[in-house]
Amino acid sequence: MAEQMFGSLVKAVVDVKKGIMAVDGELHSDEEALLLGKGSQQKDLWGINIYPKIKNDDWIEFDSMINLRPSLQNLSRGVDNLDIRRKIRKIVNKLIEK
Amino acid sequence: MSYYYQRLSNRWQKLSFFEQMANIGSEVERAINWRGKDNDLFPESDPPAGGPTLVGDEAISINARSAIQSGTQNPDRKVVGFLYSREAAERALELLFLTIADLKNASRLKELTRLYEVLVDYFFGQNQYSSSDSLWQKYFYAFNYAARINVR
Repeated sequence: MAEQMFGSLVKAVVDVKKGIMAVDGELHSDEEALLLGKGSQQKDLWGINIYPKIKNDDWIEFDSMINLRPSLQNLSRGVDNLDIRRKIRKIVNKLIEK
Repeated sequence: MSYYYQRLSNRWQKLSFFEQMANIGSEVERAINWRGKDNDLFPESDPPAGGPTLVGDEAISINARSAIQSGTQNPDRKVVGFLYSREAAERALELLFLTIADLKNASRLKELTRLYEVLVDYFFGQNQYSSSDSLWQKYFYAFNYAARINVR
């Protein structure tokens, strides 16, 4: 999937409340819209990039334009809250077999 | 240069200018981040024996692509970071190209075409305009903030 889309990475949006994830979109905002249409709440959605070939923790990259949310005090493209990061890692590791 | 956003061209024009620039900024940020990870991606690995001699950017890119696609366990940590950075920079330029072609941005063409030139200079040239990572991060952050300010 990564090689079909972007060479090395797969973009994904994770719903940390439902424990689900949208993948294979060209933009994080496409995946965000898909999950919102399925009943997800925007505050629960976080954009990440997955690098399947990377063997260490860097295989999950917390970087997306959808993560910047002034109203929620997340003021970067990353995920500033460490608890949310842990939730995201847990969900991704559960849904993707390495 | 290969095309990454093959299905996007028709929909790109529906995004606001701020959203377009924020997405370009995401790719620029990735290009910066992966370049900085050259030395700690595979801390226990050694460069692969043999293979092409690393002379110039193109040789590095070919070597990295080959190592990754063939599933080599210990690809050269430096060239992997280089490749991922380069791919992100290519994706940024591709999105910027679509942004320049978007008619609603006609009044912004001077800034956008300058931006293209300076990005190319920074990631593929000699940085004759003396850009820096922090300059690009500040520049694109403003667009990302504007694009998401009403999101709750």
